Amino acid sequence: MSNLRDQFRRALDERAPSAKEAREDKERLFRALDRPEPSKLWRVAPPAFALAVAASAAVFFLGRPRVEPVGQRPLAPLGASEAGSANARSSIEIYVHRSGDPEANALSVTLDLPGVHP
Amino acid sequence: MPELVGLRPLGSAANIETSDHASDAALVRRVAEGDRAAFERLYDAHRARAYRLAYGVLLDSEDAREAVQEAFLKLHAHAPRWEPHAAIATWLHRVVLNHCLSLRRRLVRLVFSEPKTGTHRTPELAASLGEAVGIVEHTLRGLPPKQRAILTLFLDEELKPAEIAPLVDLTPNATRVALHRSLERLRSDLSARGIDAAPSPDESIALREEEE
Repeated sequence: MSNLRDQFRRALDERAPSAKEAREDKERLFRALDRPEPSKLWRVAPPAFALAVAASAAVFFLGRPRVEPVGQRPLAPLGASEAGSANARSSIEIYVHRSGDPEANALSVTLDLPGVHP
Repeated sequence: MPELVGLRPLGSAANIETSDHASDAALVRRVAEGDRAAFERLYDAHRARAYRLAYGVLLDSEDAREAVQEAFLKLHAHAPRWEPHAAIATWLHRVVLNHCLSLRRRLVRLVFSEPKTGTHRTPELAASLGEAVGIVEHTLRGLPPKQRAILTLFLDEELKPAEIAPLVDLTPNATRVALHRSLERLRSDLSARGIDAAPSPDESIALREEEE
């Protein structure tokens, strides 16, 4: 006559993974251990970890799209000569988006002033 | 995250797979030094027990295998901080249970019902197959996760209610009451199908402690 414990254990044993599944589980576990993790790098090589963090931060900040003025020139009043530009009140600010792509850095500005034709 | 500090080896647990506490501790030290073979030996020694506990709570093979993986990954990660007096089996029980119970909570929140019913067997089907296995599973499915954990830790791991209590965050008395109910229910379900289920030798002793 088997007792309750035997019956219970038999039920759990019945659901145990097969030998193949157990082997797969073990392989999966060891693969997971081989996967690089930032926390592991911190334990193994703190300078390398710090360098990796600094590099990530640099890429983030430098690669971020920025808008900054690259030039400013006083605008002469319409019909005035270059010499009279000192009295001008208006100016044009040109902004360029620096993306790191030389093509994208090419600048083209078109001024469209009413009543003035090139 | 289970605490590593303060866990004491369980003196009374007569586990199926015997794993010597001192040799386990030595293996963990080697794991901390990066010894893969030591980790493999620990895995081989404790995997089956961890799986049975996970299956007893989750009643799903895939989820139980996942819980075991999680537990061993945590064991590997914590090896450098391992306290020599901490019992591996106890620690694994705690990690597996935490994972299983939190997984159950997440699943219940998602589907508002039993997460898996694909392997569900009615007692009629189980009896027609001539198996006590299905009846045990059916009974387990009718119990809340913590009671499943209590039943599994008592029947499979042979832990006393006082040892189970901290693992399931209950008082020893509440654990005994839950265990008593679960055992009665399991025995009744098995008896209803004419399957013998005599009390385990330590069953009455464990439950009697309630009155002392």
